[in-house]
Amino acid sequence: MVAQRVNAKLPARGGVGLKADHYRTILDDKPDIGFFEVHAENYMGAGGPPHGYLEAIRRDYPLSIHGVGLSIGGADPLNKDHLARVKDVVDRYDPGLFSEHLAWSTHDAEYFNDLLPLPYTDATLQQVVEHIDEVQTFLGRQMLLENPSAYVFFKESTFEETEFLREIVKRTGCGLLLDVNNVFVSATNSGGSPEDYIDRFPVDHVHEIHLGGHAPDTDEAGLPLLIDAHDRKVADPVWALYARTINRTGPLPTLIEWDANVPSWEILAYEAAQADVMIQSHCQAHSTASAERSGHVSEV
Amino acid sequence: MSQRSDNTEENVTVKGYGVPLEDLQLNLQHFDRFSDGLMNPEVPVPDGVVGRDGHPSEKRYGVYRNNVMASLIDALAANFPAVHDLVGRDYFRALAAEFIRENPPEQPVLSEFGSNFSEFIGAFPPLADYPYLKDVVAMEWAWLRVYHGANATAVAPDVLTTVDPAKLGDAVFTPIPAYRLVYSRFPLNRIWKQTRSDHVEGFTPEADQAILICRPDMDVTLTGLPQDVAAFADLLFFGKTLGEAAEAVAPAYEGFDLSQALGSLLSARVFARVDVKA
Repeated sequence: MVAQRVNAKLPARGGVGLKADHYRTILDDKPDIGFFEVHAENYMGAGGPPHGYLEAIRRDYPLSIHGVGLSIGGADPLNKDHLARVKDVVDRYDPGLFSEHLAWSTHDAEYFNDLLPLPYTDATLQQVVEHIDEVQTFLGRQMLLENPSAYVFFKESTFEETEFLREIVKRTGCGLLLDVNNVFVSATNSGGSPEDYIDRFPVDHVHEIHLGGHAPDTDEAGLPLLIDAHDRKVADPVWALYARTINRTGPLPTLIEWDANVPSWEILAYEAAQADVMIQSHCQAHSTASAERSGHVSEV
Repeated sequence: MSQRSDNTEENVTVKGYGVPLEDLQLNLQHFDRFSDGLMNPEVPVPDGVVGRDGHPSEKRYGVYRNNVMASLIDALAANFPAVHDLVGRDYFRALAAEFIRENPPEQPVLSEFGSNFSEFIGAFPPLADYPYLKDVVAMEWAWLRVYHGANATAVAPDVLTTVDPAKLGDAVFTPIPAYRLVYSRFPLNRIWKQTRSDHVEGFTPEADQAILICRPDMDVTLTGLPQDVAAFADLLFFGKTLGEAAEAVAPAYEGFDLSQALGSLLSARVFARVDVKA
């Protein structure tokens, strides 16, 4: 028996990752927030309080489901049991979007619980494409693939990441989740330009944006090494990169990821409100610009 | 090999779904090499894995090593908070690291990670003087399974008023899916009270040999059961009729009180239904 739920579609607003610490506040106060996102793997038990809370929250808010365990970028065949459990969660909650990562986490049937990097070659392209085909066929819906954070690079890579993603989209019809913090982290770690990456990204296929906090460090050569820690506020240069991103993509559902040192609801919601403000000012600038353009046309 | 701009036959295979076999072999080796060092700090940085300057970087590969071990240890600590508190943070992290290296998770749902942690601790020589730890782990594992178990509506404690008294002996009691019965020769309840927020009020380990963990609603509840009631409960859970279970338990335990035993199980709301066997 499923009670009436709000429409599944995610609005082009700020949303937040749902944390158990905030269940009660959300149900009691019904805060105004665009949407929630959960990790599929946290809702794979048969029943119990996690489902009780999520079911209640889903009635009032759109939801996106983000998988962290399919190991889409891995060399092993997909774990069929796990894929079936992902489908159970997706069917249970009717999310507006389902996403996974361009990364791997399982090898030789060992699960590493981390989003591990892959070289971008013809061989890995083939395995990623096959895995995404399998996921989309099994779930009966489109999935989004997220660009990863990278700390290391591979001499054997023959594709730029943006080209690799473009090729995956072309071959599978999947959508993309653009994690702007990951772009900043990877570009800093590789010595590249995050702006160039955004400018080259196949933005027509992006359906969701992620933002999160990163931790600064340096490697043994004294070069900057940013860690995608999701343990603090979104950094100012990442907000600036976000503004550049929505200039290209237009307004999109934008998630704040804060998974460690989880703050109070107020602080988390404030981050999402920042995204709302930036989306609104983008829309205003855009409508002013198009009004000016159309005014121009009518004069001619 | 990777350029995709012309129409030679080689490029057609590469662009389609026919990557040459030797490339797939090399590809597999990449994943083998990258995996090998994730849980083993002795293994050097894999070949071809480099930092921004093109050189192998221990620090950078070490981010992955650290993420893997730290996150799995955190997951185990989240599943077994009482054991974590009992042995202390540093000891737990070292213990968990050993366990994880020998028993890495085989699937991504980490609330289901640690099914054999109890056996591991029971057989861990440095903890031989702390035999109760194995039972604490087993109880935490049972609690976790109950917490995440399937939901079901429990029958009301007065359900037997709806059963014809003449047929009560043929009644079969089906438990809700979210229940476990744990036994220990140690005072688990006292340990539980020290380390976790819920516990059984008035539990006396001398008299109470078992703890019934169940979740008739959203909250997990604990009920202490004397040995005879636990034995009786086990038989009912196994599908024996009320009459069969009572007949089996009464001779073994002097002073077994059937109505009291049934009353305490019904109050715990561990049954989903009661049927009279035809």
